[in-house]
Formats: sequence, C-alpha cells, structure tokens
Amino acid sequence: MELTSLRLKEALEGLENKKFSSVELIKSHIGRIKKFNKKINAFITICEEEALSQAREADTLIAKKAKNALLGIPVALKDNWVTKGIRSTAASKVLDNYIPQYDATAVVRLKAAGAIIIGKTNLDAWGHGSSGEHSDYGNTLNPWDYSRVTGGSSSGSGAAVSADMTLVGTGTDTGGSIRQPAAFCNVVGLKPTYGRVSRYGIIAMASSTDSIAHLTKTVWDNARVLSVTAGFDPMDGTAGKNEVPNYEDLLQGKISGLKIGIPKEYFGKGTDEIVADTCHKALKVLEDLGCKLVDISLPHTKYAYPVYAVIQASEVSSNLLRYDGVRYGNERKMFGDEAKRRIMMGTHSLSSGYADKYYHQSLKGRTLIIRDFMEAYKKIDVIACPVWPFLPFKFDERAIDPLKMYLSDVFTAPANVSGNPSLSVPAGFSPDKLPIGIQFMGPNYSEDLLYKVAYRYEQETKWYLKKPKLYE
Amino acid sequence: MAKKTEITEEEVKHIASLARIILSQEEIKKYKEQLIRIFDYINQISLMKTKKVIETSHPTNITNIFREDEIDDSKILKQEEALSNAVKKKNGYFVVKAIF
Amino acid sequence: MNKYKPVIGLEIHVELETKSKMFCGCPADHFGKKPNTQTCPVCLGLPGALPVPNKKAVEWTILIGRALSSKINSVSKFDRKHYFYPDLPKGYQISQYDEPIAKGGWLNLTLRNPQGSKTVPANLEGSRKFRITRVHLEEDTGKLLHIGIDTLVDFNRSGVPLVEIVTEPDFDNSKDVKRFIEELQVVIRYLGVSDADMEKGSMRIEPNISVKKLEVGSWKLEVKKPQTSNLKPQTVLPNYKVEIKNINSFRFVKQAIEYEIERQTELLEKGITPRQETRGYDDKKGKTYSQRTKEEAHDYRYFPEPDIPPMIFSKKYVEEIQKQLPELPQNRMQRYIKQGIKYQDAFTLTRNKRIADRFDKTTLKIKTVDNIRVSDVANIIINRKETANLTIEGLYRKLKEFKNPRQIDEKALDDSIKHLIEINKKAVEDFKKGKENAIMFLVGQVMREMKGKADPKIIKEKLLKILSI
Repeated sequence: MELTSLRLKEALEGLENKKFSSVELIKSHIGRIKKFNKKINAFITICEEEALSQAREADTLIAKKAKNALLGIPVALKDNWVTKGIRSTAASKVLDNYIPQYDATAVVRLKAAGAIIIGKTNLDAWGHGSSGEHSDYGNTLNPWDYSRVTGGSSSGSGAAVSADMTLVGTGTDTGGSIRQPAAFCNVVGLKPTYGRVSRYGIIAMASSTDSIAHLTKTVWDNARVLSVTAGFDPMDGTAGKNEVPNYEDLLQGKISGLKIGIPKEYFGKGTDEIVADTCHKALKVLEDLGCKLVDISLPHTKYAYPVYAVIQASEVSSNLLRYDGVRYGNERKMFGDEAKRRIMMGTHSLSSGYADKYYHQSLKGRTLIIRDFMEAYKKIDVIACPVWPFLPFKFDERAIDPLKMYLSDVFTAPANVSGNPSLSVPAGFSPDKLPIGIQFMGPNYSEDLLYKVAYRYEQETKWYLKKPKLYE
Repeated sequence: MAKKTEITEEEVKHIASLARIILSQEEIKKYKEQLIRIFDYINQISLMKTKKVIETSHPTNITNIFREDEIDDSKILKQEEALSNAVKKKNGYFVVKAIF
Repeated sequence: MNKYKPVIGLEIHVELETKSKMFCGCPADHFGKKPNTQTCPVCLGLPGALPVPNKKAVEWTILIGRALSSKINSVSKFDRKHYFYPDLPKGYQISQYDEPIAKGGWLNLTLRNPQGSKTVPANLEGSRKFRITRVHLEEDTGKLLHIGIDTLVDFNRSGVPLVEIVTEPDFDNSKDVKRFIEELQVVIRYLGVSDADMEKGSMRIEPNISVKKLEVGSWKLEVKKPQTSNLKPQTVLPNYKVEIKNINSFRFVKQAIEYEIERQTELLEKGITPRQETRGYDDKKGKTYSQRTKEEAHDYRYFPEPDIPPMIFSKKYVEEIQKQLPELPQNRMQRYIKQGIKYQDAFTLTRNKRIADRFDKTTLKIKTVDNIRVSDVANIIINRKETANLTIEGLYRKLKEFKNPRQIDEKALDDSIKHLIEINKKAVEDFKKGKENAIMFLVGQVMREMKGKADPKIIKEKLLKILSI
C-alpha cells in the first residue's frame, strides 16, 4: 500500500494503530515530491530535513500514546502563509529571499496540533490569479493533464493534494483561489466564512475578502483541519468570536428535507453544458437523498464580479505599498506583470476623482449582493452551483487576455463579496477525464452544514477514489 | 448606458507614480489599453441602483474590537530579528537611499 | 492703502503616554532606546501583520475631545492614508478621515483685562474663544536620521499613538497662538495623557498661515471689541495657505509665524500670491524656507481601514469617560479669582495640576482661627520655593508660623548679625562695592546660626539697615 495514496483520516488511524511511523509517512511523501515535482512544480520550497526531524519527534510522542489532531501528518503550506525561519515568497521575486521572523497564527495552530510542514506550495504571485499561470516561479501543471492549468491562486496546493504529494495543502480564497484549484484538481477546497480563520501572518491580498483554509482529499479530512485552524485570534481584529463546532461529528447528520437553492444566474448561457450537466447530476443525487431542490434568483450576480474586482484591486494596491525593499524584499521593479496591473487598477479606483465612481459604488454594490444572499437564505438552506463556467483549460488559453482571465471568477467571487462560506467538492469528470467541481454556499458560520451536505454526496459518489496518472 | 472609458497615457503615468511603479513607454501603452478594457467592463456597476444604499466596508457585523493597553513581550522582535531581512543596515538602523 | 489680516489655523499632534503602541503590544515609550529594539511584525509593517487598536488610546482621545468641549461621534472608524516615505513602513498611515472620534469644540482663554486692573471678574470680558475643528487618533511614523550621505531609519516610534487636534483658522496674530498652545499644553498635562513636550517631540505644532488682503474700508469692521469668536462665520478665506513644519518650541512657533506673516505680506504687496506649500523653519536664521522636496500633489486615497471594524460609542460610554475629566485650568482659574486670588497668581497656580492640587488641599486645612487667607496660601506656594518639598501638613504649619511668628529673641538675633558682619568682612566689602548678592550670603549665615528660627526677610532688613550706614 502506497502511504501517499492514503487520505488524512486513514493516515491518522494508521499512525495511531502503529501500522507505519510518521517518519515513513513523511519519507514517502517527500520521495513522491522529489519524483514528480520537477514536472508538476507544485512546491517552491521543500523542507526535507526539518520535516524528518519533526517526524522523529512525532513518533516518540505517538509511542507515548500522545494524542493530537494532526500528529505526525505532512502538511504543505501555500507560500503566502508566513513561516518563521522558512523562506516565504508569495511566489514573487520581490520576496525571493524573505525569511519571516514569525509564524502565522494558522501555522502556530497546525504545529500545535502536531502537523509537520513538508514544504511551501506554488501560487499565482500574491494570490493574483485564477489559473496558476502567474507565479514568478513557473507554472504548476494539472496532474490530470499536464497541458492544462490547475486553477489558482492556490495552484501548488491543489496539484500537491491531487498528486498525493501531501495530505493537506493550505490556501487562501480571496475571489475563488481555494475552490478553483480544488474543482480543477478533483479535491475538496473550503472557502470559510470571512473571519472564521485568522488572517494574522497571511500575506494580505484583499483584506476584506481574504479567507484562510485548505485543500484535502476528502470532506472529513477538510473538517478535521478546520477544527484546528478555526477560532478567534486576538491578533486579527476581523476574526469572528463564534464558537468552533465539532465539524467531524456533525458530518453524520441527516440531510433529508434540506432545501438546496439553484441560482438561475449560474446556469445560463455562459456556463459550459458539460459543467452544468455534471452539477445537475450531482444535485439529482442529493435530491434522491431527500434534499429539496428550489429554483432561486440572485439578481445582482452580474455585478458581483466587477464589484469584487474593484474592492479587491483597491485593497491589493494598498497592501502592496509596504514592499519598498527597505526592511525586507527586493525593489518594487521586481513586481510581475499581473501584480502591476492590479496595483494600477486599484490605485485608479481609489484615486481622487474616481473613488466615488468605483470604490464607493462597489461598497454599495456589496450591500446589495449581501442582501441577495440574505433574502435567498430565508427560503433555502444552502446554494449549489458550479465553481467554474468552463472546463480546465490549456495554458495561455485565457492568460493572454487579462479580462478573459478575470471572468473565470464570476461564480466564486460572490461568496467573497458577501463573506459567506463556500465548499467545493469533486462532482465528476468530463468525457476527456477533466475534473469538475460543484460548490455549496451557505450563510455565515454554516461550514458544518456545507460539510454535511458535501459529505453525504461524497460518500454516494466517492470521486476521490479516482487518481491522476503521473509521469516524470 | 455606461459611458466609454477614457484613460490617457498621462493618467497611467500618474497612477504609476502614485503607486511607485516604474513603467517603460511600451508598458504605459500596454497598460493603458488593458485598463481601458477592464474599466469599460467595470463601468456597468454604475447601473446598480445605489442612491439610498449604504456602503459595506466590512462584510461582518463586528464593531468595537480593541486590545488592552498592555505590553506584549512575546511579540517584540530583537534588534537582529527586526533587521534580519534588511538589504542595508548600519549600527542597528535600516539604511535607505537618501533620495527617495 | 491696503490692509492685511493674517489667517492662522493650527495642526497639533500629541503623543499619548500609553504603555503600549496604537496597534500592537510594543512599548510606546521610545525616548532614548537603542534603534529598532521595540518593534514587532505589526509596527514594522511585515508581510501578514495586522493592527488591533489600543483601547486606552481611544478613551484618551475621547477625554481630550471632551476637555475641548468637542462632540464625540457615535460612529467612528480608522482609514488608510497613503503616501510614500521611508519612515512609513506600510506605505500608508492608519489615521482617521471622515468619521473622526471628536468633532468641533473650543478652548477659552481668559485674558487679563487690557485696562490693567489686577483682578478680572469671571465674565466674558477679556476672554477669547478659539474653535476646534476636530480631534482624531492615528499612529506615529518611524524616525529618520541623516548621517553623512546615509539616511537611517529607526522604527521604535512607528505605531506610537498620536492624537491630532485641528483648529479653525481663528487666529490672526502670533501672541494668541502662543497663548493658545501653552494653554492646550496645560490642559493635556492636566489629563495625564501625555507630557506634551515640544523639545521631546511629544507635542508638535504646525501652523497654517495665510494673509488676507482686506477690501478698502472693511478694516474698520475689525476693531477689537469683546467677543467670543474673533472670526465671523461668513469671512472668506484666502485661496492659499502655507504650512510650517519642524518647529520645536513655543517661542519658535511665534517667531516662525511672525516671519511668515511678513514674508507673505511683502509678496502680496507686490501683487504676488504666495505659493501654497510646506515650509520648514530655521531657528538659527529665524526664517522659514521652502522644502524643495518633490512637490507632487498628495492623493492620499483615503479608504476605510478593512483590518479594523468600526467603533460605536454609546452616550453612556462617553459619559463614563467624561467622569474622568479633572477640573480644567480655565475653570480652576475662575474659581480662584472668585475666591479672591489675584489674576496673575491664579494663572501661575493653575499652570501645573500638581501645584493647583497642592493649593486646594492646603486651603482645605485652614481653620478660621488661623487667620490665614487663601492669598497667603497662594503666596507661599508661588513665592517660597523652599517649601516645595514640605507635605501639606508641613506647609500648613509653615503658614501658621508666618502668621504667628514665634517670639524670637531679638537680642540674640542682633548679636548674631553683629558677630557675623565682623567675621565676614569680605562679604560686607563686596556688598558695599555693589555686589547685591553678598547680602544673601550673610542672611544665610545668620539663618544657620539662628538654626532657621529667624525670618530671612527680617534678617535682610536688619542687615541692610546696619550696612547702609
């Protein structure tokens, strides 16, 4: 049995039952990374020595019957998560040599739960991208088809989890950046409620939409990790004080009678037929399990993306001003093309004479979009819809036209504007064996409900059993 | 109807200078075209009926988040740590180019 | 002939004396510390760091607002103010834009009646009101040092809480400005929120100065008369203003304003409108100078700070904070004057809260039988610096002594004086030669011999009598 083909739940059981050691588990994952990463390019930094040393410590603890949520488990962190003593680049040459002096809160929590950091994963530089084609450290290839994108910006984590290089790949979702690679790579990706997981130590992209979470092979795995990272943090003024429920236990709950809203705006002309079909099939499964499908409308959907684009670019332009090459990093001229474009978009949106038309109008649009969702949730429990309007595309297909690329986010950005959580799970494959994802959105702090629905669907379909065939 | 966007090269230069981004003449032309196209698309937001709508700058309902006025020793960086990523340092200070 | 009237407004920054910084737990007291030893990811602007506001700093800003009779906004927030400078780690300063903590307000200055009578009754005659536009809270920047060709940066000061007080352009002369900022300094110190020291940089003044050319004949309307506001609301402001920075004492503020008024008036007389700009002050030359830095128009691109949720101040909350207001210097002065203290003494006593408290506590101790007047208490505190270290009890006893001096042996005193004059011939000669201070030496010698039991005033009188023969 390949240790790397295990899911997190199985790995935890295996370690506990002494079927294998943490050192073996880590070694097998590092070995796989070394074998396939040159091609796939999921990792920017690999932490072999430190990981093995921590694995030895974990084995000692396990021998003493110590229990911890992620003890001995390999975890890969998106390279915009700040890690003390471990190079963190945000996939930009501006931070090529940056070694942080502190750990992000989410990192502290993962470490405290016994997790072992095996490396930092690739991303679109600064989180700016939906495909994984905008890293200063090269493209990440989709393990399912090397000629296609993984989706972004958490491209490395998506590929790494999908390619069995890690059990957990963390990410950030500002406009869809966890859900999109999850959908293109046949893995589970959560965008939690804004403020559910602390942003302290996560290199900021858009401060009012950055949502911090992770990609995993299954829903249970995802729930386990969220229970570790979620919860109030005094270092983050926007972190929610809501209690953290026992996500794993709640997976088993009944879903019959649950009302699932299907927004017509997400299934229109712009959505690829195969994608729409796949989602409908998935919804049929849920209907057969007792859920009620309800047609709904989210009338401001068409404005959600431009509203998001303005707010995001404005905050990006502000958050990137600290990179002046004095206290850390390289000069601003090292910013890549996409970063420069977004900085200018944002600066323009905030500048004197334009701020009312763009920035302030977008903040008002945000209010309208939040209202759409709140109205919908009065009638239904969760919303289901595609993650992408189209199938995994080839490199350069959309990148040549920035606007075309941006429009990839039309189905994911609305949840970022509203702050609501959304969970992307595998829903099947196209005739060309390309992964398709479906997302479940809910009101704030309804992650347990989203997990519940997704879990039942997952157990009925078990798409996670399919694996991509890798070659070096 | 949303009006056609007009962004001039001068404006692009101005935006770039506000953001301390240096652009070549070619880049100025390129970004001008791209920004026009992008803002043309964005301009549709003016069609939203927002006259009496309030702005939402925070997607949560949280207010009044403060910290107590206490010193937190655990977060203070030692001088070497603070300077550890500096390109240029001298006698405990960061060094910057005199002409900014 | 044209007449010119200066129009001056002030921007004042006060560093708060909180224990920790505005948005992080680093120590706020940075004076004299080794560079970059009091920073953390937040105040150093490291990637991923987030600000969380200091509760005390917010409360103290509300306190300052209420001390200035400002209205506290029920909703307030922080905003990002963007500009580039090496001492600004994030490339933006977290400040407040359109919803500051406090709006409006004023500071009343009670002035001595110009007719020169020694006591001024507590009424509006001889008082002036200067209006406050707003009071808001923000973070301080790091410090730049220029050594040779290098510019060095120390971030120990980055993130220290700073209160910004902006006044309306109600001033038209440098004397009023000096009196105002001196009074403001006293008020801030009364509140115990800052040492408000210009030399240390915990209080900074930036005057905005313009000069208005008055229409022929209209200057007649500006005749000084008792008024509560010396700028009528419908007055039109000049179309430029000059900001002066880098002034580090009250005296220099006055000088800089005077220089600037002259400079601008000269230009206007030539028909030139002074350039709207920021100027520095060279105290050695006594001149303002143009700061020839790249004078690009600032576009601060203010927007609500997304990392910090808005603040809501309930009436109850503000009232609780307001209860912490001590009796403010102007009110205290009025009270002393009513009690019969002369204006100058009331002013002096109220310059320092500790001293004013000392005065109040001592007067409380007085019993009618003691025959001590409040003016006696004022006198001893103000003029007898040697009593400064006495306890209230000790001071009270001293007062009683002065009123009912113990019978000292007059003969012993005269003998002592005679004796000391004999053995201190040099001092006597010095005095006769014109060295006035020599007599104090002799007084001291007598005091010592008399073991402090004699009144130095009486000793001096006697000495003078004898030596003047």
